[in-house]
Amino acid sequence: MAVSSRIGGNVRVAPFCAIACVILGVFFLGLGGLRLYSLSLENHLSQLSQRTEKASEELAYLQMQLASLVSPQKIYGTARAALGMVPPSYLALVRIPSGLSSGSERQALVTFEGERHAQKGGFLWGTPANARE
Amino acid sequence: MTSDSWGDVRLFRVLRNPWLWIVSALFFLAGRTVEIQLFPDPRVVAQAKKQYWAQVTVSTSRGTIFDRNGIPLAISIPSISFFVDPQEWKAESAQQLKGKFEESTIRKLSGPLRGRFHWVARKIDGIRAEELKQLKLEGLFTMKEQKRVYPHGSSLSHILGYCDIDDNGLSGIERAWDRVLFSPPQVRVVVRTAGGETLDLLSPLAEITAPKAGKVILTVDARIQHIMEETVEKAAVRENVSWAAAVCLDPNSGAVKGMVSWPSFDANKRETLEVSEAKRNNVIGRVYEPGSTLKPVIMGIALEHGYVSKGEVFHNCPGRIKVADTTIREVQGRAHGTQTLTDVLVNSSNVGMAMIGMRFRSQQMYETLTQWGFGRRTNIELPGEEEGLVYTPERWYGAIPSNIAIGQGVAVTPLQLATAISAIVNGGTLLQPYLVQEATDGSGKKIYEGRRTPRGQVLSEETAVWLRNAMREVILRGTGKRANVQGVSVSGKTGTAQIAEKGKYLEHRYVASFVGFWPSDKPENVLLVILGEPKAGKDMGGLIAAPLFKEIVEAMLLLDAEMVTPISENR
Repeated sequence: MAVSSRIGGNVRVAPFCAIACVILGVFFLGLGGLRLYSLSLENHLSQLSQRTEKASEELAYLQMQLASLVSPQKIYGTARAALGMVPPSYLALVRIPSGLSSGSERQALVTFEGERHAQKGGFLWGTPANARE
Repeated sequence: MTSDSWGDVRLFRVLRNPWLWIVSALFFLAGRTVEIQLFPDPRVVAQAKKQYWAQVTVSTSRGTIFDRNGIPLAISIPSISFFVDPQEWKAESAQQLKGKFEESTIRKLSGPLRGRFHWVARKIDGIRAEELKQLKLEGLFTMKEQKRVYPHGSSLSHILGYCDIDDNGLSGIERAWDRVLFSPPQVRVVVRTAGGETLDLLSPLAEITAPKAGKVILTVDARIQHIMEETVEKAAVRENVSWAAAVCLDPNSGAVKGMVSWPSFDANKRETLEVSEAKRNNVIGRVYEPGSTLKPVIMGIALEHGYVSKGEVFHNCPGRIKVADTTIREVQGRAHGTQTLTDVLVNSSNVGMAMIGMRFRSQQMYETLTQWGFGRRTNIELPGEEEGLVYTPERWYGAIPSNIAIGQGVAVTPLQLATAISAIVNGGTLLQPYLVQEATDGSGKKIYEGRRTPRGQVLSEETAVWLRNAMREVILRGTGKRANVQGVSVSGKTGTAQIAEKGKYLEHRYVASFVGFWPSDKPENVLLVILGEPKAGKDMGGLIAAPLFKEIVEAMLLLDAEMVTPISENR
């Protein structure tokens, strides 16, 4: 019974050895392949995490910018410096009777009261009669 | 040959085959490779870490603090920190950092350094960090951290407080709510890449697994706070005061709408923290003698205990009165003549109040003042609150009861006084003031909710109404005329208190204050403003504190049209 075969001239190789060599070769190739694949995944993960981190940083900066922009200091400052806002010297509130159904009637009342108090440098609101209730 | 002999021969042949040994050796090597890769020797791991890695504890993102309208007041943003690896750092490179860091840091970096890791600077802002990076110094590396910033600068500084370099809360809400806001520092493992840059190995995973910080929502309205801060600062500078304070409360719930202490600091600028006076929150951390702003409280107590009745008339009130070994005077020695009880408050009559003070039963009065919250902390959610001082009954001899009746000889915090006045305003219930509307933990679960907490009924509804009406009279015809506001009816009381030092009241050193509420018929705000030791000439509460109160109320009215009395209902 033959337990080995010839390769080329004189070297005799047992078949199980050949099979084992192939298996080992596949094993090492697989190991190498897996290592390469894990490196590629690692790289991908690293890129993704960098992007996530960058996005979170940007978000944090934007949040800070937003917080500064909605700051009353900023709003009051801009209103005064850029828009010329001055505190009113006179405050008045006109309670619009609920009977005034049409918009033009309401507007007329607000305009009337507005003109009446405008001479005092007035700041006038028009609000429905039931607003407080 | 037997079959056993044939077997031996075959085994012998197989064992003689060199390929068997080669293949076996290869299998052994493959096995060891797998073993070393998967289960490296701990000594090897430790050595590798020593050589290439550094483990550093760095701060993480703290929770955000919001105002009642959702405006962020304190947030964490990414920042860059710099460190050196002494094995790569060249001492001569330190000269290139001159002018960028303190001299002590340059000196340290110029000398020999041990180990593998030394901080150079932490939490540097973007532009400066970029400049340093551009130097590309060998051995100088960067690391990302989180930095606490306050987008509104010095606004709310005494409420928010500040943190140390590792983001531990040191004062204010930052300290009181550190357990919610603090996120534990992470240990980050850094490794150098082939390109020579540092790589933060654990951060992505750590971000996921680390416990997240919670958030705190305050009852403060940033707009009201800004109005108060701006106005108080202007007045403080104008009147050249040593200190100032203002607090605005919702008298019906006890919620703090605004709290100002002057001088202030900006936690973004660490150098401003060096002034200890600026760090003190005058609203809770300073005690002072309130003077006449305490009179409504004293009168309320006197009415409740029957020391005086609402219809009582004080005849021929002189400009001064001798009480024990002390003389109590009216302002400028002016005699008020015959006064009703309301007049005593309207004129802020010291003589009238001193007469009432003589009727006090010390033990009862002391206990009642304590019930009103004087001499004990309000337990607001802030650290550093003072208790104030009310003498124990055995010390109520001589002129002390009359002195207390005019608001001297008792030391209170502005918050205690505002809380007591709120009790008059809301019908007699003393409420615990609170500053935190809601706190949630990292998972979003609500762990605290600020709510109306009564501490006791200190006044009957009837007496409260009488006092509110009397305080309205103070504005219409008394010392508080300068606090009268067009568009809304306000009520209040002025105060000008003398300052005591070493047991004696000092001449020309006063605390001017005004406490008021509005709208008078259905109060929604109580505001106390205090100007401590004005030195610009005027020092009366009615002259400098009442106009300050008025200015704040007028600006606040623009935020809420509903607060303004309609033209048709204007009185």
